[in-house]
Amino acid sequence: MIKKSLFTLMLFFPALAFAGHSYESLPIQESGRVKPMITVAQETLQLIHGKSKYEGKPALDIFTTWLLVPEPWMKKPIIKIDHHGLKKALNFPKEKKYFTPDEIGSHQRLNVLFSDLQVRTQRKEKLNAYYQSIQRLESQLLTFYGITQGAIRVFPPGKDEETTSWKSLGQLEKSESEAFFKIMAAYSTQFVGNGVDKAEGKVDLNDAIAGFTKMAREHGGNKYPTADEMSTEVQYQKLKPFFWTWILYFLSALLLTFSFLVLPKPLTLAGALAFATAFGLHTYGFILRVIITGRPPVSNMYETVVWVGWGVVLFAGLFGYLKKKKWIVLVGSIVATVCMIVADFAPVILDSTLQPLEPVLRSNLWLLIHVMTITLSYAAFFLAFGIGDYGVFLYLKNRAAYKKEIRELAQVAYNCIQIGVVLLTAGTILGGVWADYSWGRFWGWDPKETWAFIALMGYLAILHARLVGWVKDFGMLAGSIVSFSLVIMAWYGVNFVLGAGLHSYGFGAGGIEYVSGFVGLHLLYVGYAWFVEHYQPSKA
Amino acid sequence: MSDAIKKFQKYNKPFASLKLAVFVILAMGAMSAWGTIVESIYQDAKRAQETVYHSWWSYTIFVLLTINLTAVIIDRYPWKKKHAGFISAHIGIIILIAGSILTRYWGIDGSMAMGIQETKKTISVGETDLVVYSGLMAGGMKKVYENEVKFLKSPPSKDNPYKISVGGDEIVIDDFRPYAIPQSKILKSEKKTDGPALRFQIANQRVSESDWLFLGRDSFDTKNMGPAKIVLGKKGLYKWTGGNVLLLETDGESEALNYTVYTASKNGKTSSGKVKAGDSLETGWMGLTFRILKFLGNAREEWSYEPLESKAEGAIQAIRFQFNGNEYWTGLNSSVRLFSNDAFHVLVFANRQLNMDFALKLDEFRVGRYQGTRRAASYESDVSVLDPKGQPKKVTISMNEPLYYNGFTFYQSSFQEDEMGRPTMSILSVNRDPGRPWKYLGSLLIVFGIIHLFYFRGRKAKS
Repeated sequence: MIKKSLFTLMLFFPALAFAGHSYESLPIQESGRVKPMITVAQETLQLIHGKSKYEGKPALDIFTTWLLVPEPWMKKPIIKIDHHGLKKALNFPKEKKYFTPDEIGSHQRLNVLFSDLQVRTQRKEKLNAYYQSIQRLESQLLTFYGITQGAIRVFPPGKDEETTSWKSLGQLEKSESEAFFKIMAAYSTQFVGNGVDKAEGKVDLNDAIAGFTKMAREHGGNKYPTADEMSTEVQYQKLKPFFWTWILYFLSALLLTFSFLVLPKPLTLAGALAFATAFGLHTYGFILRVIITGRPPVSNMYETVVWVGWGVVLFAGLFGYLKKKKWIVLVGSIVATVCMIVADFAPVILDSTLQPLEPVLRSNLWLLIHVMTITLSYAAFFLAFGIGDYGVFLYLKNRAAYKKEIRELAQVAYNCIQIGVVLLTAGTILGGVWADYSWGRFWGWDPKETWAFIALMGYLAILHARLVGWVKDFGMLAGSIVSFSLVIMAWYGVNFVLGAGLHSYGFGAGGIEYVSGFVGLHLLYVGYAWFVEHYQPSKA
Repeated sequence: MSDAIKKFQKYNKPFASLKLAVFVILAMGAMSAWGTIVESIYQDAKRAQETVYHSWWSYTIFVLLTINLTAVIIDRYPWKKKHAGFISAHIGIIILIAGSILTRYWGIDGSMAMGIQETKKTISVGETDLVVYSGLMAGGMKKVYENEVKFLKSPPSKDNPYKISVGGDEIVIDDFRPYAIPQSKILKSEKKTDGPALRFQIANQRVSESDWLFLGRDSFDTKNMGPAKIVLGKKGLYKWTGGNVLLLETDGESEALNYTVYTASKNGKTSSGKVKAGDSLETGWMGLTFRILKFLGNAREEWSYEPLESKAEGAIQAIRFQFNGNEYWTGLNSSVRLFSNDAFHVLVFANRQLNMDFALKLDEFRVGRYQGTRRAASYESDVSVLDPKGQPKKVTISMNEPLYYNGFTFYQSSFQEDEMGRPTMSILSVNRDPGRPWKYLGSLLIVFGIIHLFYFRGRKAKS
């Protein structure tokens, strides 16, 4: 905790920060931007191994040994393959998850698979899960071999050079290369194992870093970022704000749940405190991402999941405060926990890496407003969905006894849907304004926009059916759940299931089985409750 | 309120029904969902538009919606202050629909692909036309047929062919491939008027590439092989202007070709001689050896169209037709010359081209990349507007910074580049939208209306 607040202080008072680079903050150019070493190490291990640690050792240590002594790693099962079809194509056992670079790299069928993939990518065909897994394997291998062969770019171009390309380890002058490996050697003496000789070169790490960075700075001038410029991202990577955020939301959900049973006052207070702290940390993590990437973080699936989670908490807090109802906050913290766990546990699918923007998304005010508005409406609908779940649960438990609560829940769900409808309508129209501004087409039936429109139709149908009397309290709760399937389709399905249209920059793959399971179970749940409502008399 | 209005409202009632509204809302949702599925299956937005969004049944839904909305507004008459939000939201939708109709029938939505230094005054739009030009062997050509075709929606087939009668001849289109990859094959020709073709290989220790040079009825054929150009031409017609060039000249008679190697760094001719099929020669460029694999004295090019299940890069529409006892295939945006006993026709199957009364010239094109990568970060076109009625004007069109001129808007949409990453073409999307103000007005009314409606309802609920 003390360490954390120190970091916070360092962010706001840069003067307090140490002037020189640390090992984590060493700048490396990768994927179109300059990142600190710690980011590169974590993203790389995540890509290749699917985790942020290998056998309990941190990414930074693993990454360092890949650079220093790659040979032993060729025989270690570090490359993760998930897709069964791909394992079958390579004659690998289905139950194995991790494979060694040697056994994949020297595989006879590898080139056939890669050229198959190439034909498809050249034609820009839609890739199915199988080809996406080949594509992933290709980038895992390229990244791994790239690192072991010194392809990481650590040295800036000269002050007056026109190129923006940094020099990779393989391209360095002898003196530069020696200076860099001095750092590696010094760092690696800090940990034992993985084939690194502990006795080799006892150099002070800080001296080694100072030596190399001085060289880089003299050569590249401002092109080589200072430790200050890297500090925000280093802090973001070390703090892992979104991990702690879900822990706290979960804690808040637990405390509030128990407050219904014992010690209502202190537990409620503690729960609310955890909720508020989590929200603060959530917001702070968000601000860090904005500072790092220089844009609002709503341009891929991961970022929207985090943003929607934030929106859910915002609305839950607001309604909970206005209506003085504890259970709204409880539902909000549960939904937020789900969002943040999904974001934290599915980085392979959701891609948490900090990426530069596609040209069409750059420097555009309308994009920012349009995406944020639409996804904020998803947050309102998600909260309504959580309330619907809870309401239907009470309904099944004893609809007569909980009549008052159910009415209350339906009313809040209705208010959430109202907010959602306003935001979604405005957001969809703003999407039209943006499309008109960028492409000259107000409405082109783009699938992403069209599904946002379909979701809107779903909720409008509920609002209108309520006026006819087709939808009452149960209908409102059930409708909140069912209509949210449309939001899931617009939010996730278009990118991951349909995979078509102008929004192709946000496409990815994976997780279809979990998401359809989630949707399917909820539809069954509502279907069962509906059956009970129609064919069973009330208990009371 | 007069009785007439009251009476009208009585008949109006069923059209203003909320149940109809719920039905229309659900139908719009279902229709749109189906459209996105069609688009996903065929990876083709145009197909979804033609067969779903602009089909008669989705138009029926929109007509029902408009009737329902109009009726419900009439139903609330005489309007009171509390109706403001309600009426605003519902009238907004009607205005939005009206704007969309204007766009649909009077708007232009097309594109312009321009090479660097190219001047163009035509816009290519999505509609496809069949055009036939005819003429007697001796005289000129005349347009004798022109019609829009929607083959994605109603494809021609053996049972349901599309027929064109021109003079005494008939062109019968009887097959259609929505997504086909054009492939050409060079074959030996029996006609003495057809020019030669040759297949060559150029290789050193690291690279090896082979390709065809096909003269056909032209004077030259050129292949760019990265650092060098290979040219096949009629004798004495090619003039070297720079770069690494291997020139092969044919006299139309003998199997042996005259070759000349021009090297940029030596500023001229470096070797010459004769070469025939099976021979190889050293170019002197990076150890590259040139070899003629095959030579055809008279050659023709035959196109085939490999069908695909869904749209992909390079795939185009293709049609098959019968004419004068022969069967032909042709792809979109190409033409076929047809000869019958006494007439000569050209069949053109192409996207419609619209003429503007001014032209654009692409002066320069720039791509900005993300540091150290080839990923494009931004791109822009420098263009000159050449209007006979006004001063020439220079502007830069970039992403999100379009050019507005004479009611048209030009947007930077994408670009094409060669293997070396040098841009070759800038693609602009061009648009004229008379419905735009209506759509913006409708949108504003909708958003204002919904907010007012919910706010008002919330206050009513409290009191």
